[in-house]
Amino acid sequence: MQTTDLIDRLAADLHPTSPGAAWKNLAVALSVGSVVALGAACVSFGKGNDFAAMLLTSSLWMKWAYALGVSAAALSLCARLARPEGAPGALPFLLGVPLLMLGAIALMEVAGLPADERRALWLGRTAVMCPWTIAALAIPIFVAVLLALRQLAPTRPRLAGFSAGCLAGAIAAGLYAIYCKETAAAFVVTWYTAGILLPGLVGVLIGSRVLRW
Amino acid sequence: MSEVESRLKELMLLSLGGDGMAYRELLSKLSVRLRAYYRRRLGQGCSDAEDLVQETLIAIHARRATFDRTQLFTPWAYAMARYKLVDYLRRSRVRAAVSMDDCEEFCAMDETEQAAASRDVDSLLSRLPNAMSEAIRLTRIEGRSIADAAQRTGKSAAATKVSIHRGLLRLARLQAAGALDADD
Repeated sequence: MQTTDLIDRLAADLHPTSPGAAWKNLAVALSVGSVVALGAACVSFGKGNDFAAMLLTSSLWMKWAYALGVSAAALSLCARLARPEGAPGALPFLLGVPLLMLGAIALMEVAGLPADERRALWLGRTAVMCPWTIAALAIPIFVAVLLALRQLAPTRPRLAGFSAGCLAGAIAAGLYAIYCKETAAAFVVTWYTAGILLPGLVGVLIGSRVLRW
Repeated sequence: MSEVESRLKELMLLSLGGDGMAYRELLSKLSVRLRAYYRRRLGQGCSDAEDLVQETLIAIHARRATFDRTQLFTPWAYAMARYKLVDYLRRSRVRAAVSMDDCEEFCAMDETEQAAASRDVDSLLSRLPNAMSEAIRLTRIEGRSIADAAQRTGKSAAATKVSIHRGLLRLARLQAAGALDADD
């Protein structure tokens, strides 16, 4: 086909684009993925703990603050990388801010404790299953975000995949917190972070294939 | 440069609002720039440059929602063009790698498989009476005409035809009986 013919065809296909159209895609993907993940959590964990009582515990708010902080950093990175000219700049380091803050809290928490108590606090009772559960809950969100990104124009597919994975992992961590009985900051900073980084790592590995356009 | 930027951005904003005339002008202007860009990068004679121009125009069309109206237009369009170039170079490197592998495979096949194939033909033909195998070899393998083969073997053309026909029939029967496999 001649390029002039192509231009004619594209011009004929033109319809107005609203300013927020690209981000609407991403927002819809996040909502759909999160609802599916929440549904999956309800089905697999049942009603779980007494939610009203949990809302009064500081540990739930600590987990939510952490998940929210990581989500916000990952979302801003993801939105930046969805544009073709979007350079990550310092945004990847922003992901480390909530990690460092919670890490500091965890250090204060365990300071002065004997070694075996430290270990008990750090491992809790669910250290083994926690990261895997968060990663599993992240799957629907991750898939939805990747599908949305494919419609956009990421030119750094590995980093974009990483940001999408961390975003999905952080939201999944926030959902998992509703069912998690662990209370220690040392636990959260280790195992929640592992659960967030797992999909992030998968994003790095599959990004260059999945996010090609 | 900044004049180009402001004109292109103006056209882009009109296009996003649904102005077809502005859009056509924008794509035409872009295609000229893209063509120059890809030709410079790929060499004047590269026939893929025009394909890349079209691919990029399609990508710009399909992903125009990712343009941020508060930002500059040319870096956005250039990032699209650059991405398509990098993708093309990666693809063609893969293609080059594949074609080199094929070449080696091809050469290796020439030595082993083709030699084995001609050994097979020889062993099959050796099972036929001389007149038949000679007639088949001359016509079907060396590609001579029947008249030529008849002259060389000192027989009539009709007799040569019959020899070929019977020989091929017998070969088919031998092969059906698995004679070749038994030989190996």
